[in-house]
Amino acid sequence: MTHPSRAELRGYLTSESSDFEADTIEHHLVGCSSCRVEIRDGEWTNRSWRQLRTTIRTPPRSRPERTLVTVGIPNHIAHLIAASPAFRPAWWLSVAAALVFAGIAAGAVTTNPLASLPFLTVAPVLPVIGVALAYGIPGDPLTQIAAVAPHGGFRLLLIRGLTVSASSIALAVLAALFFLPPNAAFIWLIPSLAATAATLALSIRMAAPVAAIVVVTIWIMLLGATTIAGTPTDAFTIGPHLLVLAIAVAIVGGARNSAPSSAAT
Amino acid sequence: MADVDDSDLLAAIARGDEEAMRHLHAEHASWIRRRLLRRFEDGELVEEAIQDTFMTVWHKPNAYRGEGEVGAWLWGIAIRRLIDLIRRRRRQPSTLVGSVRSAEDEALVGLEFGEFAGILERLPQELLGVVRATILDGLTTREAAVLLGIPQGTVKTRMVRARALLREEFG
Amino acid sequence: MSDVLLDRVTKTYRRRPALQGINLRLTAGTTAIMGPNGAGKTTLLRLLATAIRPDSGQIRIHGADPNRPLELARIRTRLGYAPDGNDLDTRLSVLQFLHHVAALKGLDITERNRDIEQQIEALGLGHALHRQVRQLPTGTVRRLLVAQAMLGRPQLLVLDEPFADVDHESRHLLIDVLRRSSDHLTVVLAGHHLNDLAAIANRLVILKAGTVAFDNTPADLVAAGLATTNPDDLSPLEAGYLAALSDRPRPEPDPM
Repeated sequence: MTHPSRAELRGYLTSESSDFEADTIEHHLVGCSSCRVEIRDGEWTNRSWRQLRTTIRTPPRSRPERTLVTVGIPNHIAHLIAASPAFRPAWWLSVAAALVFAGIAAGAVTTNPLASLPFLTVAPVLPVIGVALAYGIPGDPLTQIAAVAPHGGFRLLLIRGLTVSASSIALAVLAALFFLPPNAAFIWLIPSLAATAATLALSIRMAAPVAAIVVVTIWIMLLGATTIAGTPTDAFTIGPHLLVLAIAVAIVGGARNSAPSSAAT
Repeated sequence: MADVDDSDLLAAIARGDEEAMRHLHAEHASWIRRRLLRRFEDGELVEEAIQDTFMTVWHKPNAYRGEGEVGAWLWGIAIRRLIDLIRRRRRQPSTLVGSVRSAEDEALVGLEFGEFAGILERLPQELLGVVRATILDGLTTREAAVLLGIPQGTVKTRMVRARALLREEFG
Repeated sequence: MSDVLLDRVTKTYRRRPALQGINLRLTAGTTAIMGPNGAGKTTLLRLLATAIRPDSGQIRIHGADPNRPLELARIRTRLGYAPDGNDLDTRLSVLQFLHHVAALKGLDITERNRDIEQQIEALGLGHALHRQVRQLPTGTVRRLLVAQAMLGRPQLLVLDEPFADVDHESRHLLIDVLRRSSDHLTVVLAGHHLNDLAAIANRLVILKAGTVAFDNTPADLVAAGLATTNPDDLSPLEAGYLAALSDRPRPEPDPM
């Protein structure tokens, strides 16, 4: 096939060629690399490529991540929560473990109220331990990097624990409503949700491990008190109130703390 | 030659090779842009169509089945992305239909191109636009209507007239 | 204030001393930590990266005390740490990995995109962005580890074995990036590759069984090498290195 002349190609670019010429050239360009090079607008191509590259390099945000950002979660935390598919097996494993725990606890406790004590003791921390086991491969470089990152380490563990507790509760409630004979297994997951949320809220004011110790201590004391009173499961009803209190204190305190710095910027 | 390179590039893109993507874009973006601009003068919308086109290729390089020129395949995506954008701007419901060239049109395109274009030249201006959109660019009546900004009925009646004239030319 | 300070730092693992009374003051620039396996290099780096705490002694990083939770948080926002990542095995793509670490560092989306873009360019990771990290050759993994450490504009960069098993191209890129960063930040790296490390470091620290056996400029190590008898035809650098590790007493370097 004969190639269009340079003059003809130039005419095409400046819209001076006839419809007939233009149609012929366009038809030719579909399969001719050398003529494509001839009419290439290098400057525009570079600009267009840079724009395309930026899009390619921005990983698409998943729907959960976008939703979290919409409701006001800072976007780095939303990214960590929604995470990449690569982390999903670990997350589902944690949820499954939490549900199994709730099921066993609910089954064991119906007969004897005091049998609830061991379950109640571990209830607030168990999902977080599950998360630590499911996600953290000790010695893995990514775990080591996360351990010394400002939002990695213990805080990341708590954030993941929170999503696991909340999702497990939702699933347990659904199961109780639709599939299983009505039961209250989900109630066994509430202490962990409360404890994790309280720890995270307190960690605005203090180091996260210290916050965890404070929360667990309060829980144990509460449990001691309700056990002495003869009804350990009362901890379920009092615990969440304490949680709300802790979060309120932390947020008010945190707001007062950060107010001067945000005014300065 | 160029064709072998292009399908190699698509294979590399399927493996997530950004450099291959840059080459494919450098090879094709510019002429496709020119060709789109000749059909629709809104530069902004054309830029968007180009970006959309290459993002589609980035995510689904395997949609190219190895039939025909990669250039023709890219053009097919690009013109449809553009029509889609025009539709959206005009707030029309977006329903993309595959190309439905009739056997008769296929026969026309199958002619030596110069010969065919020579016949087109003798068509009246308003018929030429419709023929270019449907036969050369492979659009459906509905897509051609969006691109040309005329009602579908008009596209159809003009095509009937054009076909009659073309038939005469072939004798 | 802008220094990293170690004062009589000791760390013991299962009754085996890893570091014994280390005193170091690191200023802006690149310090290479060298020494045979088991000399305490990685332990020293992990202390500087706040991954572990010393048994005794003090550490100050840019004036902050890593033992205090709030100061620790401040240190970590300005810290880049690349562990020895030979076994980095993740299904994340390079791009996802970088975004994940950037989020761990608390960067918001604009900073994240900006810093990641910069590191991709600097370390030539463009061709590998969409590949799984576990499938990458070692050289590219080392580059990725340095790239993630640089996210969030750290003041202190701690790199464990950045040159181990890397190809030619990766070595050049890494040396280039590290040379450029040593103007404005404190870089501490550990390794075995004497020539590479001497090429980028303005200071060499040689550890021997948990103590500092040599602490001075690479030029000084070369001088020490030239002063030895050097029967095996080693390069002056290598001769100096071996001399520093030998049991023969040698004059203490000037304490700066």
